[in-house]
Amino acid sequence: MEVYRLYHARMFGTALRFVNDRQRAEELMHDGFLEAFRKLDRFREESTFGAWLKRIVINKCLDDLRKNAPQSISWEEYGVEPAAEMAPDKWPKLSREAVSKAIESLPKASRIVVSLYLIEGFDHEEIGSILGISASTSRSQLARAKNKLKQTLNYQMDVG
Amino acid sequence: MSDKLEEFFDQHQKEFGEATPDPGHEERFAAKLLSQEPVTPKLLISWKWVASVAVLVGIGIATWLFYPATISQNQPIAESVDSTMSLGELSPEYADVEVYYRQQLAERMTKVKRLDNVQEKDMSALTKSLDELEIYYQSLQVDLEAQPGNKLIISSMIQNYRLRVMILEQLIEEMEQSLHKQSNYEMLES
Repeated sequence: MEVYRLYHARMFGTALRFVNDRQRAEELMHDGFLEAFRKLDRFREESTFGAWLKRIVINKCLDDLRKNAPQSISWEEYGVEPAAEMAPDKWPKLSREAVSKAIESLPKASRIVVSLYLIEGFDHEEIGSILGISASTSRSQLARAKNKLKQTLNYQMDVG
Repeated sequence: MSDKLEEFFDQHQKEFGEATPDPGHEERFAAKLLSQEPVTPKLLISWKWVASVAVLVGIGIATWLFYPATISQNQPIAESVDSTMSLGELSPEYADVEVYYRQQLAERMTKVKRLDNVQEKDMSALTKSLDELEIYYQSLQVDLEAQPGNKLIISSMIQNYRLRVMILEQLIEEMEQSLHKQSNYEMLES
């Protein structure tokens, strides 16, 4: 259980951002650990164990999303939109809760790209290979998501 | 211009990255784990594996094998206590496996010591985990002496080494990631 204790919070965080449901996220995280334990002999030195386990958990989440709501993820490319900016005086007031809430309100595809890029630290090439999309689609999804996040946060702060 | 939103995520990486599951998650996982088919220890001892170990470790291993005194320095417990049996005492192949893991651990420890951004609390958590695994390993050595060749014990000993390697890897990964992120920002800002 040592490995489980060490990694569960990160893996649960990852799964939760994908499926937005605590119970489902726990199941997917558990499935990810079980698969990693079963396939431990396939773990090779080219990646670290944490990164390898995370890819397994992410794949479980994506399979789950595809299975349960196949039409709900749209990866089409968007044109470049003018960048939204937040008023400089609002940045210092930004809270993690507000940002988490804004992420939850994003469309599924944007939420996934934001999670993979801004939180998990993957680059666009890696995101492309995980999601089966091109790196440029990942870039445009991220740009769009960031605009949307800034707009939502501006609005939240204005009304809050 | 640097992206403030990305900066914000970077500063709150840990809070965003981690979340706590509902109470009882560990017990639920343990139950799932126990209900799994027992994993047959596909022993890493096929010639292919031994060959790949030989390639990986290369000359380093030869030095260790030809100078047993070096090994005993690294395995004080295995060598000094009569009522225990080390993995390496089973057969030359297992000796290779043991040397391989000891080598892997030593390399990673050296790497950890070279990292200058490891916080003291992370370091003590690491030491504690490694100590616990060592204690568990010692008890497996006692078991192995009583039942030499028991596949389950052998497999547990190998898993024990793997866990230690993984724990070290995770720390190294986290530290390198935070350094990498930092240098990315410096690059973007320049």
